[in-house]
Amino acid sequence: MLERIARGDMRAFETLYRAYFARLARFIERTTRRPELVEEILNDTMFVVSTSAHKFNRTSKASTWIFAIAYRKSLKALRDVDDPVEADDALEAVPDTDAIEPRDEVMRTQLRRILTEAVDALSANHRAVIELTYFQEAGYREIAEIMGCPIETVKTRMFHARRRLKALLPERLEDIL
Amino acid sequence: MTARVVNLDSAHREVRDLLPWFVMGTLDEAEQRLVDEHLKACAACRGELEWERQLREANRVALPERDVDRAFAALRARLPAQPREVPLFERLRDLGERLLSPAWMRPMLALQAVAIVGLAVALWAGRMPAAAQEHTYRALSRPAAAEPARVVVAFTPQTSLGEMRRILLASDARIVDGPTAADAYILAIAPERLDAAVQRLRGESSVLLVQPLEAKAAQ
Repeated sequence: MLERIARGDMRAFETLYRAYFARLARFIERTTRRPELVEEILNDTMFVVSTSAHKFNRTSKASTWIFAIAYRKSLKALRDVDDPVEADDALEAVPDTDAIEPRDEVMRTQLRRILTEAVDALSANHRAVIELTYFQEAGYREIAEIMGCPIETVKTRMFHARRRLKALLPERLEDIL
Repeated sequence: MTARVVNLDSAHREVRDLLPWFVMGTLDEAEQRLVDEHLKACAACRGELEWERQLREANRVALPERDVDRAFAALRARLPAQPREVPLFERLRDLGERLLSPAWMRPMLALQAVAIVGLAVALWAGRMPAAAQEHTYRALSRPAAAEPARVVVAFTPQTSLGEMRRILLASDARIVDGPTAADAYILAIAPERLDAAVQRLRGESSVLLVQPLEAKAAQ
């Protein structure tokens, strides 16, 4: 597919674009927390895919290569709007615990909302690891390739992300878990 | 004892760090087994696993859908209208890489081996007559080996291929050139049979012209 795109095949490119659109949009939105920037970052990513497809060297999966571009574009967009990329020690956006009702479905829905908010409060690097692991179902080796960092860094980021999530969640919620 | 505690700790830490990918089923087999074994003995990691499952569920939240058509149209406007001209060196490099890729390597090597054997045989076969020729001794007084005589022949336009073949066989002649611009053929005939052949050819109603070339030159 990327070879056809490298030769300027616009139909192949459109097929690829549509196949990746939802996954990339989600990854970018979860990493940046900036819904208003998602389409711009996504199109910047796919622009690079279109114009650099001839540079894809087949040593990694096509999806890994594309997500790596999306990750770099996401971090660049955050820097452009002065949003910190690295972990920030000042924890904000602590979820509202009063809204939790310890009753089956209601509780589960609330739990999801609180966890989502807690993930949002992490740094971009941590959010990217969480999103790639739990939603995009990438292994840690692939995540290291996407983020351009050693495997141990991925594990460390994940460990810190989990620890922060626990710290962000109210004690009562931990009891429920 | 201390060493054992340290080892246990590092094994515990290793498994604890792998739990997110264990829950997702994205570990390799050996890692999956390692975690399985450790979980049987470690209550802390089992507790951690439950928390991982909650985290996985929480991350499955759906985000609002986006308009792919509108987004693609926006990008389409930015892309160059013409296909990118791939520089020659890149095309050559890509071709080289494709040929050297594992899938191609085996048949290419086989082909190369066949070519090498073929060349060796051709070289050997080619050397033999050349060597024989080098050692052939011919006295100056001895007449040169008889070269076939050449005859120009033209057939009537109605002559069929079968008829032409019959005439050539009867005259012991072979076509060595033609048809020429004038629709004639050059025949090769053994010198000792030349006269008889020319006579026979002239007697054929399908033959318009018979002209021995050497005879003319000798005259």
